Amino acid sequence: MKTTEIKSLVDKFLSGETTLEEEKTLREVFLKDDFPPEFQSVALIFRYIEWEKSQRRPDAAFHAHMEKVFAREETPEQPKIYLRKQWILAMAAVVLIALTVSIFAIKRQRRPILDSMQSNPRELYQKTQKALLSLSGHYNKGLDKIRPFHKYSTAEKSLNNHPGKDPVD
Amino acid sequence: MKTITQKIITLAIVLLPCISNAQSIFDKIFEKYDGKPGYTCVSVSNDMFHLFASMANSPDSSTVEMREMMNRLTGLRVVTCDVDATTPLARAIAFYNEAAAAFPQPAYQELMKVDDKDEHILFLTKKDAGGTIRELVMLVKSNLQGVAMRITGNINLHTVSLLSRVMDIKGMENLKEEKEGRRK
Repeated sequence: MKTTEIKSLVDKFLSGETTLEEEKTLREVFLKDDFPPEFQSVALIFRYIEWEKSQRRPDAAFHAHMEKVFAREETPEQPKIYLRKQWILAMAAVVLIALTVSIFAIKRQRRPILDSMQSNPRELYQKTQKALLSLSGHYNKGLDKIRPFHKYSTAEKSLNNHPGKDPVD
Repeated sequence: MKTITQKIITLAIVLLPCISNAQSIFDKIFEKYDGKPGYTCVSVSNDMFHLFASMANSPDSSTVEMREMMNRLTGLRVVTCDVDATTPLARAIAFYNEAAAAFPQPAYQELMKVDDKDEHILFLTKKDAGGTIRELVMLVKSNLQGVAMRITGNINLHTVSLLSRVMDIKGMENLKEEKEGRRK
């Protein structure tokens, strides 16, 4: 390529009027080492752009990373439920209390049933009377068994204390 | 947060023994036999004794001593195991032994023991710090029945003795009639 042609293209390029085709031609000229030395400064621009392209090209790992990022953005992440230890303990405690309270309530409920089974209070009163009389009767029966011994011991005592005691033994 | 959790757990731990100790061994025995064929169970609560106190004004066979006795009581529970065709003697004896085990010796003191040729009677008491009898337990074992009775309240043994003496009942009366009455 003639120097004048290059000159006119460079002038067009610097004034921003080159087409993509012309820029491609210039790029080819300046990437070779045999361009006229007066265009050194312009050549540097093209060479820098070329170097920059090679440097800034994203590598495979970067691509993969970005794909992941985009994929994540597309499918929103499921909100994870993080159960704290304290919460688990609190829930366990609540369950425990609920259990104890229900057991207590059931036991409380059973008590009146026992009484209400003896539906008629008058009937229950009669039963109570009989039960207490039976208790008293058995108690007196025991007392009556003991009483003769009391009588015997008191009699023995009075005998022993008698002044005219006969030394039999 | 942590302190609240700790409080809740402590509360639960404190509540548990209250519930497990809510019933005595005898109460458990009572509930075990309540409603079972061959056993007669009578339970009178403190509230029921209050009701009796208001009922006692009506004319009936109850004596002054009986009313006085009932006014002092807070609870009564009787379990009777009658020996009949369906209930062998061995079961009544087994019941007696089970009931006797519900009143261990250090807590309950032996008041009286009668060993007759056909009847075995044991009286036990439980006193408070002031020496007042708070529980009176009677256990009877005979060829006819096994009985376990517990009365609670402020118990005066003299009144207990007077009850049947006043009623002129020789003490051989037992709960058999009562059972028949219940069936009717």
